[in-house]
Amino acid sequence: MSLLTVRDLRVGIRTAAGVVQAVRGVDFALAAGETLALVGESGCGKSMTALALMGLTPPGATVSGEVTLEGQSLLPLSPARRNALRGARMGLVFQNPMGAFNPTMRVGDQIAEVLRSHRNLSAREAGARAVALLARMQVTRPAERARQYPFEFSGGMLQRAMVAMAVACEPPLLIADEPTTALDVTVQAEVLALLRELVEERRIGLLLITHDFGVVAEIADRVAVMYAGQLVEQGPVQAVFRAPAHPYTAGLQAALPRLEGPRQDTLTTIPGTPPSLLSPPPACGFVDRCPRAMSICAAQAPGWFDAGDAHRSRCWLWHAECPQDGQRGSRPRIGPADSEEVSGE
Amino acid sequence: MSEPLLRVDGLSRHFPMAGGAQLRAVEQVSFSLAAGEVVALVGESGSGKSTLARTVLGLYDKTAGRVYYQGERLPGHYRAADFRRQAARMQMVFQDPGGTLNPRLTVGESLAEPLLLSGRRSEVAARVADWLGRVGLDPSAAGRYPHEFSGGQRQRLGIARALIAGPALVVCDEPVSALDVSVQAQIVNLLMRLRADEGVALLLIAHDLALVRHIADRVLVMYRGEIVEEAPVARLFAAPQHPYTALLLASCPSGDPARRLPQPAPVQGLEVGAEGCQFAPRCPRATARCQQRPALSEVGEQGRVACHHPLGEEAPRSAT
Repeated sequence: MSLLTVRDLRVGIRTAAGVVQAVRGVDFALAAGETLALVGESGCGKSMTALALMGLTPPGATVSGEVTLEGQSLLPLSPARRNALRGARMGLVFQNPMGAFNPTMRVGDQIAEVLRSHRNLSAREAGARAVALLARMQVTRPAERARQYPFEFSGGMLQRAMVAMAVACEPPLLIADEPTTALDVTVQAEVLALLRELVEERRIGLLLITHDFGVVAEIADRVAVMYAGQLVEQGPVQAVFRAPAHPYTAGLQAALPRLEGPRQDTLTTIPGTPPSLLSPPPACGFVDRCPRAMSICAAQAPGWFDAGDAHRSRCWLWHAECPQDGQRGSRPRIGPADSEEVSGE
Repeated sequence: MSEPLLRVDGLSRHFPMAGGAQLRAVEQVSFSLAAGEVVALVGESGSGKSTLARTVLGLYDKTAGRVYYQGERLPGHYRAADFRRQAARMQMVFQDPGGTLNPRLTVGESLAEPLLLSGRRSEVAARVADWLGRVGLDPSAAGRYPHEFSGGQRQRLGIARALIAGPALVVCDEPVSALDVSVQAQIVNLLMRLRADEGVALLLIAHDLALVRHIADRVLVMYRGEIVEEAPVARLFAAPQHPYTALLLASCPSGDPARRLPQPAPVQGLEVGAEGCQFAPRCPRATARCQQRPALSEVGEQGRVACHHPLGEEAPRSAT
C-alpha cells in the first residue's frame, strides 16, 4: 500500500481578478522509502500542491479531491486534526529556514517544542533529543548550537536544523519544498546527501518540490513534471532523463546549459509563456508553446498514455493512432535531439 | 592597445561592523578585462562577488586600490557628475528585473535615462524604439509600465536600459537566476547575441557553473573576499588548480541520475589564524605551510592561483 496517495487534487484561489485554478486534477502515489520529485517552473502549482497536502493553503483557497496518508483521508479532517498530523505524521522543510524558525527562540527549544507537543516528553528529555538530532544532522558542537538563536546559524546549518525538526517525531512522510534552493552548491550537496541517507535509513517517503533538474537527478527515484496546474509526465528518474516522454520535459532539459560536452552556440528555448490559470486552456495546457502540436491538442485534453515501464505521459503523441514519422504505433521521438530537428523547420 | 578596457589594482572594500571591527568584503583584488571579453565571477554567497562589482562601478566607495577604465583612473568616491559621465561607459544588469525599474516611469522613460544622463536627448526616441526591438519587444512597450511585463520581459528591459547608451562594459549580477529555466535560455541567448553584435564586455556574476561554462571566456573564483583562482573557462573546468574550485565543481549535480555525487567526505582541515589561507579549515590538502597566506601567482598560461598545494594535472572530476 502506498504511504501517500493523491487523487484528483484541485486547488482554487480566489483573487480580485477571479479564481486562479492553481492545481487542476493532480494524481500520484508515494511509497515508504521512496523519493518523488515534483518538478516544474514558477506558477505551475507545485508549491500549492505541497501546501494542500500539508493543510496550509492560504485563506480563500478551496481544496478538493482525495489525499490519503497511511490509509487516513486528510481533506475532511478539522484544522486541529490536521495540525496534530503536521510534525507527527508529516515533516515539513521549507526553502527559507530563516523565515521558518522563530527568531526569538533558541533553536534547540524549537526542536524540543515539536517533541513536547507530539510526544509528551519532559523539557529535559526533549532538550536532550534535540541535541542528538542536531548531531545526527552533522551540526558541529550540537549542544552549543542548540542554545543559539537562528541568526547565529549559517543558512546551511539552519536548514540542517529544520530537517532535524521535521524528522524529530519520526514521521513516515517528509515534504520538502525547494529545500536547497537558497543554499550554496557545496552546502546543497551536503544537505541532499543527508536527505538521501534519512530516506534510506528510516524508510521515509520524501516528496521533494523543486524547479531544479540537477537536484532531481541527484535524489529522486521517481519524477512528476507539472505544467499549468497539471502533471504532464511521471516516471522513474532514469527514464524521464534518458527519454523524456512529454515535449515540455524535453524542452526544459534542452534549455539547460551543460557542464560537460562541447559548448553550444545557443541554448534551445521554449517560446512563449505558460497560460493564465484564471482561465486555463480547455485542452492541452502546453499546446501554444509545443513544437509538436497537432490539431487535436487544441481541441481535446489528452489523458495519460503509457510511455514505458511505470512511465506515463499526458501527450497525444503517445496515442496509438498518432502517426510517428509515417509509422503508426511506434514510439514517438521526443528527446532533445528530436526537438531541435523540429524547431529547425 | 596594451591598456585593457578595465584594470582593477589592489581593490579593497571594507564595511564597519559593530564593535569597531571591519568586514573585509573585498580584499586586495586585482584583475583586468579586455574589450569584448566575458569574465565570470564565481564563488559562494558572501564571497564578495557583488561587492566587488559594485565597488568597480562606484556604487560603493573604494576602501583602497585603484580602478582604471581605458587607462583613466576612476575616482575613489563618486559624485553625481562621475555617475553621469559613466552612464555611457559602464552599466549594470541586476538580478531582480522587477525591483530595478522605476514603477512610476514608463518603460520609454526608464530606457531614456542613460541617454539623458550622457546628454543625448536628440537620440532618445530613435534609440528607445531600436533597442526595444533588439531585445525582442514591441516598440509600443515604451508607453507601458514595468508591472505590465513578465519577469523575462522585464529582464529584457533591464538589458536594453543597460546597453542603450553604448557602454563598453556591462556588469551582470545573476542576470537569470530569478527566471524560470525556459526563460533563462531566452535571456542567455539574447545576452550572447548582443555581446557578439555590440562587442560589449561583460563582467558576469553567477552561481550557476553550467551557465558560466556556457557564456564566459575567463573565470575568477572568489573566496572570502579574495580571488583564489583565475583561468580561461575551458582550463578551469578541465583542470581546476585551487582545491576550492575543485570542491565547487565536484559539488555541482551532473544532471544525470546514473552519476550521482558521492557522499561528501568529511574534511580534516586546518585551523589557521588571520594570516593563513582562508580556505585551509575546509581544505583536504592543507599543511603547516598554509599558516602563511599564499600569494596569487601565475600558473600555466593566463592562469593564477593562490594556493601552496595546487592540484596540478590531477583531474578531480574523473572521480565522479
